[in-house]
Amino acid sequence: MNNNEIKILIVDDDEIVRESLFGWFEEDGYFTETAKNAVEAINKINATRWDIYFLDIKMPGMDGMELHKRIRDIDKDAIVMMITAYASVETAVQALKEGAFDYITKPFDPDYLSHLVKNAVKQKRLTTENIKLKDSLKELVPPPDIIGGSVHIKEIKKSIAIVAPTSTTVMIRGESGTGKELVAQAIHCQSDRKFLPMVSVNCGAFSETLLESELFGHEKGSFTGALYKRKGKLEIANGGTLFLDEIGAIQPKTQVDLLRAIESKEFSRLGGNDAIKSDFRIICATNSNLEEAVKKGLFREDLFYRINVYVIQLKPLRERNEDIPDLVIHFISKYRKKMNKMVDGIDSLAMDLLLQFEWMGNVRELENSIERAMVVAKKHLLMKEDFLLNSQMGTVQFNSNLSLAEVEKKHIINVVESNKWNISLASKILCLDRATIYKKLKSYGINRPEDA
Amino acid sequence: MHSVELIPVEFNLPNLLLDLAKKISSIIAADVFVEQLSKDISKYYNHERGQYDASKILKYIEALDKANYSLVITSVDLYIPIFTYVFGLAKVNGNAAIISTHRLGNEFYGLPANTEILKERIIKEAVHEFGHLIGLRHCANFSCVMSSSTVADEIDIKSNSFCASCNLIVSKNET
Repeated sequence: MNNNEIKILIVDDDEIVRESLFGWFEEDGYFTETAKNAVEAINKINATRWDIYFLDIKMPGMDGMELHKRIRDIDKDAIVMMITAYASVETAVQALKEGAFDYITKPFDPDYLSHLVKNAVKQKRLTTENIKLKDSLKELVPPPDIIGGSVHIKEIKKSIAIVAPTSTTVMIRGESGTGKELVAQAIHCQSDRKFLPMVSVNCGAFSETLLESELFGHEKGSFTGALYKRKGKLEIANGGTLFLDEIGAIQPKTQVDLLRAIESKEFSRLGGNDAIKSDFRIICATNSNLEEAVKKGLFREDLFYRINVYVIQLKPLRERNEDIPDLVIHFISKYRKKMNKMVDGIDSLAMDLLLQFEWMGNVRELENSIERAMVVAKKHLLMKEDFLLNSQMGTVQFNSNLSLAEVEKKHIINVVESNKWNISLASKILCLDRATIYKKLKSYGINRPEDA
Repeated sequence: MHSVELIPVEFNLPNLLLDLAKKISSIIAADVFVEQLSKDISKYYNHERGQYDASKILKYIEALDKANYSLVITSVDLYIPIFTYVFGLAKVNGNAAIISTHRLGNEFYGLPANTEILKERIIKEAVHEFGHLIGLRHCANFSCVMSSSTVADEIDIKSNSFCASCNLIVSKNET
């Protein structure tokens, strides 16, 4: 930013002051204009953007104090200097409290004005640079990828885009492993709070007292073991987002305190009396049936309605199989980099297996399976046997419709395949002698594959 | 080639004038000649401040409507209403400028008088104000005579001539 890019507006009813300052700034190369009263100034402000304002406090009609407020309403980043005589220093101090950058008392040393303007220009340059850097940062730190091209995932992405820029409380519901925290991160990263932290608390992981301390913090000596003062997550999340996972696990007493904190954005540390203010946005997640918990009196109705404002319901992976190929490719790419392995895809038979699987643990389970397969993979593609080797996919999916014989058949197949048709190893696992295994294989019509 | 009238008013070092005119002339490549006018500036004296109003004196000189640039040199202390003092004053692209030696001498700061330093400061201030008259603004190059100086020490830091960038602007303005 060169001096001629800095725009200065001088507002003073005294022509000599206007002329003197104008001349001075013109010599410095700033783009400068003057206004003899507030009305003329407001017209100029409406017509163009000004970086630095010099406002005389005492002017006929609207005074400098009022004009300062108007400027703040239009441009909160404007740098405003108040010009005052000795008699109105108190007013100038009041202007500083209301956000003015500085004030000058007439007459002043040219050296002082020179320093003042240099500082103001520096501040303006830093602000402009800061905005530019934040914009670049946006590109450098993209929000987490939500993988999948299914209609459901597209809808989820739309919902995130709608709710992210607001400060509305969001409830994310879905089975374990469906990516609730990922959605919370995406909301946080697309909101204005992205440059401040998203603080996560797994409410199910703490006892009641510990959770209270975790959320609200505690003062030194507030309970046995509280040796030091500690800030709570609500306080740490100031300006950012608080992600409360497994919110259904919160005990009734904590529910009351949390409700109060959410509503007033004010709370006290355990054992403390001081009210602490914090500006946080709440995102909750649960895989439990909160409506049922409300009916049973385990979850407070008022808290439920307070947090159940905007609901994002995530479908289990088995109901959106079409996302599996994209997820598989994503995880292969992720672990290839992490493990430095030359695996770049998946065999079609292996993919069929993954598409048929029920994935009760959802995306988390799929990711773990891919990670395990990547560990054992020997080729450049993940093969069916890479998944059978070490995962639970080889285990039989039991259900109540199967006869005992069918269960036995499935289990025997699973064990011998897992042990690469080494019957001695299978006999040890099944606690049967080798002859019995051969007999059972024959009776169930199970033949050893040629390549086994 | 520009012509500059060096006009002493209430100037108490008349024996320096010819030498100053010669040196300034060589730096700015203009004809500089001393113009002896008897001007009464007492009406621009502010009794409350004990100083002379530079902007009013400048307006008075400008009104004389001279064909050449006017550079008033004075020993009285100058001010403009918003500032406690000024070393000099000129309008960008104006035709008259004023400089004061009052705060340029070492003795003003309690130091032993030094004519050489004083002369060098006067020359720099004169060239600086003349720069404004020919369209130059303050320069960010600290060694350029057009860099802004609000205290005497800053005048000593800079050279007495225009930097390459300012010279370029001068050439452009002339064509």
